[in-house]
Amino acid sequence: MDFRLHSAKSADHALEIAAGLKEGWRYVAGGTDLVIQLRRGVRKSDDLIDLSSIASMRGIKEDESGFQLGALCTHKDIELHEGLSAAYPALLAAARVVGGHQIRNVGTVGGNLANASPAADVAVALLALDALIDVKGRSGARVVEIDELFVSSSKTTLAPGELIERVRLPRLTGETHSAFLKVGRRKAMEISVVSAAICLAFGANGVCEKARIALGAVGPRPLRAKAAERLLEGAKIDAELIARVAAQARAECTPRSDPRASAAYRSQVVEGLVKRGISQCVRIS
Amino acid sequence: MSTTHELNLTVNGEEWQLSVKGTETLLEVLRKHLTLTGAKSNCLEGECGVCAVLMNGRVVNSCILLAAQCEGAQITTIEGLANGETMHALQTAFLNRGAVQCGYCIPGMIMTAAGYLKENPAPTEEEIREGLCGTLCRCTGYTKIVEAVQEAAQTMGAK
Ligand SMILES: Cc1cc2nc3c(=O)[nH]c(=O)nc-3n(C[C@H](O)[C@H](O)[C@H](O)COP(=O)(O)OP(=O)(O)OC[C@H]3O[C@@H](n4cnc5c(N)ncnc54)[C@H](O)[C@@H]3O)c2cc1C
Ligand code: FES
Ligand code: FES
Repeated sequence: MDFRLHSAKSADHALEIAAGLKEGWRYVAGGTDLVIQLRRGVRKSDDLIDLSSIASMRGIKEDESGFQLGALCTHKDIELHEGLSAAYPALLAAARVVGGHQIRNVGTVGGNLANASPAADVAVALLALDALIDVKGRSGARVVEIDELFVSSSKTTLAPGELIERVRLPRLTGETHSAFLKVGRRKAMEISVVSAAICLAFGANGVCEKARIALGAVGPRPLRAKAAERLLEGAKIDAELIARVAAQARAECTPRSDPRASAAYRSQVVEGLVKRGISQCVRIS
Repeated sequence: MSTTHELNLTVNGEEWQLSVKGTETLLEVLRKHLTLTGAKSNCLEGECGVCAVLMNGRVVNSCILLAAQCEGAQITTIEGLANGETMHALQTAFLNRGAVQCGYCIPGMIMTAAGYLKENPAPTEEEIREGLCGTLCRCTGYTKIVEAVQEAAQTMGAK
């Protein structure tokens, strides 16, 4: 592990430092992904730009439009924020199963997104919640819909130098319920073998008006099962429909076999998790 | 190629001004610069928790935390947990319950428990097990450790 560490005082300062560096630099927030990657040698960086002391990228704010999470919010910050965790149960459930408490106290939401692991738990929950990502680069700020952020493992649509400033969660209206479920090889401290986040909005007559099904570790990126979502939208949900939706979601996945689990196992598990996630949302509605 | 950073750190109540390398972790600073060897150096990947210390009251794995990112932080290690000659309730309870075998994981285990009890002062057994999930013990089978944390929580709550 050998690199120069540059401390950024503000988002603009970080961009300025980046502009002056030769390729091969990286941002670092909590370092819970990056420090390990550097130590293992799977990544090399001559320069790290430390974002961790940028005050404007911390904290959780609430206004009429919803919640804003600074990119430096830790998983623990999410868990301990009552308003946020009450409004988005899927986000709370995801933040609570990231690593152990030591990791949750340090790992950030920005890092979870930018690291772009297909198994990133908070990223999967945010995908089901239609989060908007405020991104800043040398050429200005822009908003990225979370579904447009991920490309493949470790790859995002962020342009070179762009950083994630904050994550915005739209306020959920009416009867909206969300759930997050994860299966690993052991109960805690485990990267997801499969994860699923579901968010369903219901109309006054109990009809599902909007559905989001986000799945982790069953494809090259956190993905949405969009055809399965369409089966739910406009329908009254019953057991038969849940079974069809889960089968459809399974068909939209392209899981791979790796040392954690086989593709066949992941396919089976994803179907089960989608069923359970939808049932959870329906039962509380 | 590494950079050098001036670092102000309060460790177990004592203020330090240190000069550290950008690549150094908090664990290296504690063990090498300050010769506080309670926090152990093991997996260096955040997996085992034997390097756990409190940073501003929250438990962190010092092996993957860059020291230069800890500017101004309050660090508590196992060496600073007791109040002078009076042991911390967790230390007393670990002894009472015989929760220690080889002892290697215990500094990390106790600091993890100390961090968790700040967040949840009256945990159930299930919650204690989840609270300790980031720290591994290869000897005890955890039963006595969980009992010890339960006992400490009761003692601390009774005060
Ligand atoms: C033992 C262990 C267990 C874990 N368990 C889980 C788990 O169960 N679930 C899970 O999802 N994750 C898990 N993780 C992974 C990790 O903790 C999370 O992904 C964490 O949220 C990463 O955040 P960070 O701030 O530490 O990222 P860093 O390591 O600092 O950065 C990760 C990447 O994101 C980039 N980056 C960081 N912040 C920004 C930003 N604001 N803008 C642009 N780029 C940025 C960095 O350049 C880097 O490439 C685990 C890690 C460990 C060590
Ligand atoms: S040595 Fe730090 S977690 Fe294992
Ligand atoms: S007592 Fe030996 S590892 Fe825990």
